[in-house]
Amino acid sequence: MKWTAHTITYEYTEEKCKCGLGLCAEACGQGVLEFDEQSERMVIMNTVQCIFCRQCEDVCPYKAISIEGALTLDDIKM
Amino acid sequence: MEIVTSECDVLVIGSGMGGVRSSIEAQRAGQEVLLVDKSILTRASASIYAGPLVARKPPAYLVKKGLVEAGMDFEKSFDHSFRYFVREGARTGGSLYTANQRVSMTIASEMEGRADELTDFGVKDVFSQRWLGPPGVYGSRIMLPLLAYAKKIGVKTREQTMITDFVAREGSVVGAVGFDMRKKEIVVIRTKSVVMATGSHGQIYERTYAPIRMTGDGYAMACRAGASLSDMEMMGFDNWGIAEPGLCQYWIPGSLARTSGVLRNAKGEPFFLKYAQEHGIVGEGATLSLTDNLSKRYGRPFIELVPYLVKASMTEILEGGGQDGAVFLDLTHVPEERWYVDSKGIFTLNLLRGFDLKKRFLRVAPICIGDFKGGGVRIDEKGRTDVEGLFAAGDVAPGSSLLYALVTGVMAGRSAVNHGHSTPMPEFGSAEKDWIAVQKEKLEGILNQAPNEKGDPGQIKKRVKAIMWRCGGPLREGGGLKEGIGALKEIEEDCLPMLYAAGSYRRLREAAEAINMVKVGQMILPASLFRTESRGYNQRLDYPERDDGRWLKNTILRGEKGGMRIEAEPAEFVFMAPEGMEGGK
Repeated sequence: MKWTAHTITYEYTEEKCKCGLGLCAEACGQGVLEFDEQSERMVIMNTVQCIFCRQCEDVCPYKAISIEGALTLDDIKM
Repeated sequence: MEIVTSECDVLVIGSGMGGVRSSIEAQRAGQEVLLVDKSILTRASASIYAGPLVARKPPAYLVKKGLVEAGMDFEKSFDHSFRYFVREGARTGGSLYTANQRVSMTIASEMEGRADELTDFGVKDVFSQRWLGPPGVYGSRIMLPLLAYAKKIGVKTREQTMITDFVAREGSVVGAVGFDMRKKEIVVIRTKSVVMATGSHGQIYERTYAPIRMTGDGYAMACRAGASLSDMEMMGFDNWGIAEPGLCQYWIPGSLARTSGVLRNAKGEPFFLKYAQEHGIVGEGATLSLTDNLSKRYGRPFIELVPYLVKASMTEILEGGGQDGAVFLDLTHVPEERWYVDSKGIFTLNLLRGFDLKKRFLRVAPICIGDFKGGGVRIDEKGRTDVEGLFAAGDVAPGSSLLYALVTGVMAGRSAVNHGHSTPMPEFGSAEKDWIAVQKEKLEGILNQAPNEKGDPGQIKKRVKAIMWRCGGPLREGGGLKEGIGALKEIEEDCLPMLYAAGSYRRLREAAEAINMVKVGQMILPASLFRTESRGYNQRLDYPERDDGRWLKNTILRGEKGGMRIEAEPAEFVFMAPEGMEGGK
């Protein structure tokens, strides 16, 4: 599953989603991600509220989610 | 549901800065520490999102460009910091700074040393994250190494375990009860000392940027355990919440670009300029030029302007000068390159998702923030609450900021150790066991409750948030506060007994949070009603003036059987009185 909001692209690979703990949803301070207890997988609720903190990416041991295109520290022009 | 009892010397609840730092302090002193979090470690805390630790050493390139914003200058001396806190605390209602200057002095004097010491725990680059931290999670460069250090020295951790209440014996806290979402079991922990580092309550408001787990659990638990809380009406708001339809409802952080913005009403008038002049907010040397940054424009650090900006914007909105519940932030004159000089600037551009700031004004409205608040569980200069065995650190205590959490973390951790040295590991008697059985029954009752119309935890939280924003938000008045108190009472009586988790431990956490949120609302609204003046974050339309003669006081809340008692205590100026406010006692 892949989709783009403005210049930012989210990619989520369901087959890779297997920690079963909802680590990404726990790390999401904005409630964008939720953990579905039935399927034991992550569900994306509302990307408008995403602040691109990228903690979901960071905590996922299986690299099931990635965010591309957001400005990063590399974009700071000194 | 099984009950599993474990024990530790020091139980630390919450893994933001206050919790992790106090864990380190206690573990280094040879105590066995258990650090628990209702979510995963440190990632769900506000600390991970926190910006400046100390705005001490701005990067040279910003100084060279003349872009560094004036603010608190901790470099000058701790005396300067202390004076700043006393003055601003009295103005904005930060109880820490008015009620207990011993606490304030201790914190001011330890700030710099505690910050420097972080390098010993593997934290690099302590001071630059205000400008150059990773966008959105500025505090991560501090929190992640600090947590790694805590684990390395032997702090035991337990994730996704929510503590719901403290076990008390003869007025002392001797343990805690909760549940483990992973193991799906009730948890009982015996301990000599408990450090609460459970964070703030920002999620109690509809408009908020606080991380979703910030539901004020510690306030509610402390109150139920008989601890006193101070100045719960002083809960912080900031002016720069995005209110543009279709965009993230988040806070625009204080980038160098944002501070150049101008607030305008629907007619395009710069209303804050007029407000500042009429209300005597303009400081010495103010340029009043709309092209200067806020500090230069109004002749004082922008942090001091925040409550006024909030009040001015809310007033404009209520009096019809705004549009769709918002006013406008004009950033059209800000050079594009200025957005790219610090990480808060580029973070904002990400939030705005291509919104054309050159051509359009951005709708903004006040939003609840965790920062700048004054209320919380009362602590002394050693991080002790007024319940024996219970200590508090970070935002759950009356203050906020990463630095505040760092210093109070050390204070609480050390006191927990001292308490542990003089206390044997408690044994639970029959009274404690009976009480634990009742708690277990309550939790099981919610867990096994079937879905029903009134008891959906998510819906209850939504209702509380709406009530709190409407009745206890940035501008308040007696009638609205009473209405809010009534609405919360109705939820308490009608909905909380029907709370259901339908077998889900995640929903049980939501339910426990909903209970705590109602409780916290029941502190904020009556405290605000009680304080019949406007000061800092308690802005009353029916009492618009600050009244130092009557209200240079702290409101103190104490839980009692069947409710809470509120009283006012005179602010105690041990070291100095704030300028122009000498009549404290």
